[in-house]
Amino acid sequence: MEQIVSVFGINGKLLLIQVVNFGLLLFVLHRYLYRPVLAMVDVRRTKIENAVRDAEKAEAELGEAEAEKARILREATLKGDELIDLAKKHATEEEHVMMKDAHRKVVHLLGEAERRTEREHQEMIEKSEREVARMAILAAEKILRKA
Amino acid sequence: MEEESIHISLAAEKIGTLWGLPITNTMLMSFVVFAILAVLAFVVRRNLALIPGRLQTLVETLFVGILDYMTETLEDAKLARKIFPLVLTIFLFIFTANLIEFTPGIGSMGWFEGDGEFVPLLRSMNTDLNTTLALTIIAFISIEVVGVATLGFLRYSKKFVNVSSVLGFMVGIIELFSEVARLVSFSFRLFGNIFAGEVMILVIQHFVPMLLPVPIMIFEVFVGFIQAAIFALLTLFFVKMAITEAH
Repeated sequence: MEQIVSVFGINGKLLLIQVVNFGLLLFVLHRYLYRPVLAMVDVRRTKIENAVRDAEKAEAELGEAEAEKARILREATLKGDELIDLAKKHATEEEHVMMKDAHRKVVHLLGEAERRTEREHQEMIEKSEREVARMAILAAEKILRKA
Repeated sequence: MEEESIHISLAAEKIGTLWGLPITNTMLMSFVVFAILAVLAFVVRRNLALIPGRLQTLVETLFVGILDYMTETLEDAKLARKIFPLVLTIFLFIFTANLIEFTPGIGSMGWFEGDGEFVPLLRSMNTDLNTTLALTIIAFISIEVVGVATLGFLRYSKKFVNVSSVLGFMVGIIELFSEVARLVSFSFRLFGNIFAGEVMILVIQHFVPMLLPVPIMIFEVFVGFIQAAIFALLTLFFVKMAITEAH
């Protein structure tokens, strides 16, 4: 054992110096290399995680918005169709009423005109009857005077 | 004649003394490795941004990959994060040292002592048993501490002291031996691999100074990576074994 120690130059002080040297290196590398680098990796990892989560959230929100848009559009279309139908119905009804009115008016006017012509006709017949009678009387007078 | 022979010393060369503490060339090298890693840490930290650059991407990929692997192995994210610094520092420390061991100047810059012996200023860090033993002691203590902290002292010691049966007692003794044997296997594995590589390069350089050492050096850098990975991985696996309760 003695020989081994002397041949290999094993020396307690040298051993201690090497141990301290390594310990110091361990401390320095841990403090100034491993910890900052691993911390940086962790920071980046959390950042990426957050970014991915945000992207997923945004995507989901976009999908929701998309669905909302479609829903609103569908509703609007439905409502528009309803309105148009209603307007059409209204218009047909109105048309009906107007047609009926016009018909009634026309019938009324026609009746009026018929009645007027009838009356005028009657009047003219009466007038001509009266004239014929007057003429007959005049003729009779003339004949009587000659005689 | 003296300069022609290959001089190989198992022990690191002492290059000076400071406040009564011996200074060896491998120790100086470990300070250099420390400085390189500290500068790397500083550069990475200064350029740290939410949107990463090239270096940051590399570092992050490496760290997260290792952490994920550790979490998978330990099946405990919190514990993995706790011992992640230890495992990664062991790897980076050993790997950086092995990576720069063939940098020109390391091992070739130095002076001749009075007796004609060459003393290099810098020497590959893991060719000193003091370094590898220090790393092993740190890993060993960490493993035991994690085991005790996770299982509790009584339940952890049951792995080694089991009086329920004769066989269980024997198994406990064997466990205890294998636990202590790690101190030797860990430190000598790393030391032996790197030292052998250095010696091989030295011998080859002695006979064929050009070209041939290059592929061997590339291979040795690969071995250096493997050894660093093995040291770190074994620490991880022994932690896993320490937190697993005895059957």
